[in-house]
Amino acid sequence: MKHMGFKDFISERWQIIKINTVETFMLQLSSIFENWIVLITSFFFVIINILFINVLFTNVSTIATYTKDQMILFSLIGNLSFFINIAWSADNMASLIYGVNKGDLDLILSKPLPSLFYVTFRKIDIFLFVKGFVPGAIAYIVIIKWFSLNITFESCLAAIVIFIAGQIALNFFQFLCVIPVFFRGSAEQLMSLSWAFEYNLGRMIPLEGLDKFFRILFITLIPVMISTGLTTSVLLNKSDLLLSILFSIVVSIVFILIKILLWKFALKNYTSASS
Amino acid sequence: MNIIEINNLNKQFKITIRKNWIKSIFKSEYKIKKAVDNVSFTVKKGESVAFLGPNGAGKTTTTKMMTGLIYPTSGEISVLGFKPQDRNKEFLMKIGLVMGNKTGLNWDLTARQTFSIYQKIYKIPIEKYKSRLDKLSKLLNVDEHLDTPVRKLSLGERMKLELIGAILHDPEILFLDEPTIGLDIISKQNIRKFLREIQKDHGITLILTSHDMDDIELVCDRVLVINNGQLVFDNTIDYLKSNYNKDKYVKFYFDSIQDLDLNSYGEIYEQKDASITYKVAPTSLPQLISSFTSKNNVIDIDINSTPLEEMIKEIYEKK
Repeated sequence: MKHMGFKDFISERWQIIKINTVETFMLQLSSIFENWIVLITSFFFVIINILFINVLFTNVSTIATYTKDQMILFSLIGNLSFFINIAWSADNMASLIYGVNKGDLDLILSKPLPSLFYVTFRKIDIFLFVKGFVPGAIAYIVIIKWFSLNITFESCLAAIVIFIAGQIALNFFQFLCVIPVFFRGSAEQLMSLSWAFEYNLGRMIPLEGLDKFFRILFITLIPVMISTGLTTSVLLNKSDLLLSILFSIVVSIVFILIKILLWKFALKNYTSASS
Repeated sequence: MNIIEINNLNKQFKITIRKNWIKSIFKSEYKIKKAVDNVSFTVKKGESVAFLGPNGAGKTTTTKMMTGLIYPTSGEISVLGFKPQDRNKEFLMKIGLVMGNKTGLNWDLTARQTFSIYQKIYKIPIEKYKSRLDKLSKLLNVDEHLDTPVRKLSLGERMKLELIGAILHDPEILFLDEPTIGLDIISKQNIRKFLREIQKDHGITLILTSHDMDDIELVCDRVLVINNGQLVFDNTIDYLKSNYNKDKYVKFYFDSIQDLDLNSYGEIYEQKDASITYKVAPTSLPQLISSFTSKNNVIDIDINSTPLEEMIKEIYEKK
């Protein structure tokens, strides 16, 4: 950053994102006939999820202040968060564990790259996102009665900002779970723990379904609900828009700063796998 | 002009000991291992320097500190005027790194696809990139493999392409960590010849770590011997050969021994069930082979230079 203007700083990172997206796409093309199972799995998950919501709402009109359509919308956003996370963050964090253990990180650190940014955006699997998210999303979108939802242009914009901040927070949380690999040589179990929080909590329970303590916990220390519960709540005008945006932006900036410090500390302690 | 200056360099690693697995669940015990112990040396521009030493001697750790991969515990280190551990972008643009047992090329892509990514990372002008790739791939005879997925290449072909990837951006220093490990003799020879050529023609500084004496003889002019983290020898390859590599080690493999007086042929270095190794002066080599094979049923013969461990032992004795 010292000798680099803001334009160059952004341009370099944009180049990395472009290069890595293309590389991941080329990798996907090299095994194009594999992994189509993800499409079927995710589609069935969506169908089962919709059936489950239908069963839940057989005798009640609201759960945790959510109507059936609002709950389906929450599931749609939860699914979006899940697939963006696995197509970007989770895979990169798993690669970081492997890279530290096998010494592949050496070959990244020896290149003139902003290393933290590079390991964060090493793989951007758009193909996986499309295969996993799109078919299910169509089902959700078709079923939701959109006119019954209180969505405004402002709430849409706020939800987008909060969702992005939530993804940054989620990535930070996973990074935090992975960092011990630099000191202990393993982090797979902690990574599984972060998945358990995200996938079992983040996209299953709306924010309003939790009491105040857990609400705060899951949007700060364990930030798995910003990109799901908080985003949906803001989109449906259930939470204060301005306050939620402000909160999400502050939280994500703090997380980015902590991440940079942790990375520097981790590299100082990096021993590099022996040859 | 010195482009590498190292003063009193130290690196210690904290190694976890697990004596009792129940105790280790609650409390980890550590021991400190000195991987590099007070090492000092300088390297001039255009030199070809080898780090020689047995496994675990500290040669790779020293190289990793010179490339900024790991931080030194103490001491000063300057490469091309930079502190490597700062990982300055300008510094990283000027070095190349090849690790014999790690692949920089993406396994599922072709080498050309990975190289085009390198072109963007190192900001190599497109015309220069194309002509350099063309020249290097022809020189190493791998132009026909540029568009084959890396996973389908042999180890030798892959290593040649790794080398191209490491020098595409025309680095001032090329660090090579065991570049010929696991390769067949022909591939080893090609790579050694190529390294010598780029060092002489392009004035590139080579820093090579190996425990293969042949790598060092054919590629380097100067040798630094490291053992137990300490620098025990720093001189030319010719000096090392003339002072410490004087004997030949001849190993005979046999079915059975007819002549039981094995000591009569010379100094026995090692004796096993189906083989015996003699340590002899090069001038006595023909006589030893002729007399041993005439009296015994020999299946095969290996002739080797002084083993590294013997050389290090001798270096210590002379010190």
